[in-house]
Amino acid sequence: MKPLLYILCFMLLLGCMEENEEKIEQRFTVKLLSAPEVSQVGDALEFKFALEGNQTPMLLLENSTGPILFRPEVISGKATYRIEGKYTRRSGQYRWQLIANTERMLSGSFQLEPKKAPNKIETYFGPRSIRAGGTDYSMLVIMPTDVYDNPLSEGTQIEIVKQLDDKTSVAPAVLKDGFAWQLLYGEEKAGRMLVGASVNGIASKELTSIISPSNATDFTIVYERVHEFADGNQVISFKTDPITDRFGNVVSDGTLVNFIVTNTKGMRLQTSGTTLAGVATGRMLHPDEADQWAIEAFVTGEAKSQSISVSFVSSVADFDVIFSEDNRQMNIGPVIGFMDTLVPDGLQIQLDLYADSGILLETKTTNTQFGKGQFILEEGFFPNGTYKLKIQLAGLEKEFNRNLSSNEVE
Amino acid sequence: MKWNKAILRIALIVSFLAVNALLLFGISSVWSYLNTGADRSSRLHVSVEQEPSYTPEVIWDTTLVEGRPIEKETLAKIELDYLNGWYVKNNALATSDPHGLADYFTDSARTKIFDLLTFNKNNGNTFEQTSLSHYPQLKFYSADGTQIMFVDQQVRLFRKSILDNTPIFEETRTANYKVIMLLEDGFWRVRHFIETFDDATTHSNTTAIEKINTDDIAGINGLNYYPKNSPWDTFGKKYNADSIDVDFKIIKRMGLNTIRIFIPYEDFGRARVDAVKLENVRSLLDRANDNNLKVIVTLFDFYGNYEVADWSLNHRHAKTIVTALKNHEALLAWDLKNEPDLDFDSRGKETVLAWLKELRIQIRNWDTEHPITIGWSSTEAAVHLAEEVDFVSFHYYRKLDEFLEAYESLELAVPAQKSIVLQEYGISSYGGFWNGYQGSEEKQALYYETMQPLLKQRNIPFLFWTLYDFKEVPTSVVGRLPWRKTPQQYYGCLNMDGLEKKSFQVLSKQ
Repeated sequence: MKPLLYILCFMLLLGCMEENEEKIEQRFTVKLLSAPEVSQVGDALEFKFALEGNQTPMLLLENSTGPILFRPEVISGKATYRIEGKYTRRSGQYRWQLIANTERMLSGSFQLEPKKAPNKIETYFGPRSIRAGGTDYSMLVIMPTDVYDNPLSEGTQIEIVKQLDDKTSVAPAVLKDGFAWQLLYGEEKAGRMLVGASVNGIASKELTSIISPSNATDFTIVYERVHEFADGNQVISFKTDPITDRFGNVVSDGTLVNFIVTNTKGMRLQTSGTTLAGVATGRMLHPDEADQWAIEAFVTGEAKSQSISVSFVSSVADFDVIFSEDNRQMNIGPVIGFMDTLVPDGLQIQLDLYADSGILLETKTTNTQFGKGQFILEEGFFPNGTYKLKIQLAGLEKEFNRNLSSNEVE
Repeated sequence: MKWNKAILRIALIVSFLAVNALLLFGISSVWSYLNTGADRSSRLHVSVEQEPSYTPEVIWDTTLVEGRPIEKETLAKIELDYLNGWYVKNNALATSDPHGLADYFTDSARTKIFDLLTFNKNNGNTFEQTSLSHYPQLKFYSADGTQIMFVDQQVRLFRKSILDNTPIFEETRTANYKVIMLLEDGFWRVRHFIETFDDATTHSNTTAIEKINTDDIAGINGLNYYPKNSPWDTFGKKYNADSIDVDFKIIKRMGLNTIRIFIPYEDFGRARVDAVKLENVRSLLDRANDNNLKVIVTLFDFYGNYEVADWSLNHRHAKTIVTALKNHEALLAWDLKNEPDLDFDSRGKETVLAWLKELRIQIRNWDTEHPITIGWSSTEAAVHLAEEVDFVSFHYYRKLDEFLEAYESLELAVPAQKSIVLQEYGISSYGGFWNGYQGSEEKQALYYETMQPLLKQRNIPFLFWTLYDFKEVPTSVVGRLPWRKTPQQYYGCLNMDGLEKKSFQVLSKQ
């Protein structure tokens, strides 16, 4: 029984204690003596409250960055909260609440305006590369801040300076929501656009946007070659005239031009070149037989040239074929070119071998060396008999019907 | 002598072999260790699925953008970085540790936060805060896509101010912020962040008119339901709609009209609710509807954290479930949490109450029709938030003869017009070693024979515990101790084989 009594007493005691505390809470009152006048950012603030009761309330001050708790200095029932200028540097909304016993005793709010004087102007400019023509633009975003890095107040006047094509222009802008922006258009002429901004005499850095030429327009091409012979050795080059956009700006260096060649067989050959000062050059080897080329050039997706045609004449007039006795070896040449010299090494010679019945048995190729070429038909591959032999060289063709036989010497 | 020599020889050879074996083993384990490490699938970090850690509601308004229209992907990235910024800032305020701020605030923006953190750290101030909803209105997106300005409107903030590790103040408030962000090294970083007055541009999020229907509350006759084979895991792998239908037919035959079910928070995937399990809940509600039963859905079962950092995740979880089920015919009411008062001691009463209060407000936003309650564990606890809930719920597992007294004192303590529901009560029929052979089926039947007329006479809506005896009770329910666990298995009015116990007839008599 005794322990129970003790416990009961203890409980009673606890109950009483709690009640006492509550009474203290109820008696605690706070009166605002002075809240700070709305002042400037960076100024020290002072809150004064008259306290009645035995509590030390805390001041919860909140600005845009976050909350801070301040302890008071209590002297004879008066609580003073001194807030250093360090903690009022942010502009915008401030809320204060006086807290005691997990309750909000008093609260209020005020707003601090940023300083009038700008300290720094942040500028963001982009895209930094636009195309000529007056429809493409770069955007300038301006964020001027005061000495505490607060955006300046709404309606602050900003001057935007733009230098383009030797002309300098100034345009006004107005700060809204902490920043201002403006579209800066390029002109028809390619080049550079320089911009900057200033607020109240404080200037931003200089920013540049490159105005690159617009799309290429149709152009013409010419060709250059050392001679008209199809020797398969010389190089013909195709050249554009300076390619420009529709405003007369020479297209950017490095613009890719594709040259498409169509020959008489309808085959397409391609070469390409990149522009330097608007001119692109493409090169291609001469054909090794007489041919007629049609050439067109393209800046893919943008422009094309007219079609030009080039003809090549055969560099070889005729050639000799000398058969061995058993007809199994044939020596071609010496092949004489257009200057009565031996043709360059590497000219292709083709032999088509047909059975008597007209079925193509084999095609052999070789190249000239010192103007000559040779084919050998081994007995193991081609049994004795009559064959049709067709030899082609530089677009020329010769046909023979020969009887391949065993080498009698052996 | 010879023997000794032989032994020595054998010992030498064996130790030589052993040393070699050890060496080989050592080298091979070093070798295999160096060859482990990242396996191919983790090389690109593609398999790492991060669980969201901060999920306040964000609804963008992009109808009035100057500069250039915004791309969906960019906006998603901005939202992610902006919320991460909030997250690291909240963390910094709570721990005074600036970790992570550099990623989400530009140089000049973060020095301001550092100043604040230094002051608070030196004075022992910390703040646990979270934002719960954002309605940002996008105002400007620059032509080169590297600057953005928006007004984050109606930001709902909850903050706990802590002085020398003692919470001194809690508040919920809304604020508007003007935000300028810059794209720097692939991160969208906050450049300017300025609180502004609530002006005309505020988000017009008019709250829908509440038409809470509490008519059915007074007539609740029901039970707390868990299936026989998967108690405390109704919607898991063992979910079986057919057996639930059978159970519901039994419940209906008993003359009951309501069941109470539980949705475990962790099991349902926290902020990312498991769609399969949610579908199972819907299927259960369908079955209930087929059998003319109403359902009270208890949220956040087995959750016990309440930490401010968790709130936004909790709300995402609740929103998914509430919005998914709120139009279901069978839904009767939301129970925010089962017996939250049991967490008062470990988590702090104020913390738990603040959590419940905010959760109620949010759920009321999403569902303006169904009443909300909290399943307090005792009549004493049920007075908490009585003003806020639409009807009061309490559990009673104490002595029968003290019931009326307890009930009457609760009746006096809560607003008169609010219904009071006896949401859990019952007695175990277990009579065995662990409770000194005290209980029996007869005693259980007797308990209900006394209780039921009492409830009827006083018109007290009730939900008894429970339909079945269970073969297993998870340790997370009542712990490991067998004298607590075992009786918990025998609260049903049907035994483990599904056969009627004596109490079944008593409870069916209504």
